[in-house]
Amino acid sequence: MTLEILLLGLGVGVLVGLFGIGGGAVLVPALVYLLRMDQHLAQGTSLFVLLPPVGLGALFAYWKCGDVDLPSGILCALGILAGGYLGSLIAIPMSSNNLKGALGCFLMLSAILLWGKTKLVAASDSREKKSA
Amino acid sequence: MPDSLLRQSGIFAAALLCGVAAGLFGVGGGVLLVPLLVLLFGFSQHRAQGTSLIALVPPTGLLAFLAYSKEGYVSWRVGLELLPGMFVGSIFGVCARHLRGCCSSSAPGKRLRRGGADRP
Repeated sequence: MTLEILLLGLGVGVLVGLFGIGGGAVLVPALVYLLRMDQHLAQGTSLFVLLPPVGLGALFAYWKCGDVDLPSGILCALGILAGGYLGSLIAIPMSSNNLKGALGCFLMLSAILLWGKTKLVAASDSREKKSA
Repeated sequence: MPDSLLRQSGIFAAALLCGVAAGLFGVGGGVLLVPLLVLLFGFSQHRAQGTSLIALVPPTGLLAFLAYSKEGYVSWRVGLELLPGMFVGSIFGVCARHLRGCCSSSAPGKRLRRGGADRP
């Protein structure tokens, strides 16, 4: 069991570095389906895991390439801190089942936003090539 | 100047929204922040990911975490076991990016946005 959890952490960590996300989006479903945790318990555990800066090693690499916007990052951190508290107030009284459904919808929304963007980029790429 | 102020308040508002999602679903918020920075504020994909990572360095989920732990919704043991793997794994993730070229300016880096995420 412990080994499984260690490997799960490793797998999630790779995604953190690759996509610049916190990891919770992968962690919560994994805890629910692989470790059969209750939805609330999985979310609380995920928030606990995200307290220390697990993405620090990844951040360093982005920093070296100049791919970090520090002022925007600070603004985002403040926004997420305040918004996070609001979100937890909404989540705690919800039933686990409703919460699971809502998370599913949220992940689909994120996925559609990103996927829709790839179409736009593909279009602008071909335009770039023509002009070049 | 008012233009950049508008942009900054926009970024803050977007982050607030991501925060609500973060507290509501127990995620970091980066999963929504990255697409929003790219779509609404014209960040390149790499820059959005780097900015999202730096926004997640301070314990942004702290207030939400305290609210969950007060209700007993935290499994400490599993959490502690996940941490080392995530830290090491995140460095592997970046190494994987390096193999395909890491910086937004490098041509091989363009593959990241087609394969995994998007935008230069």
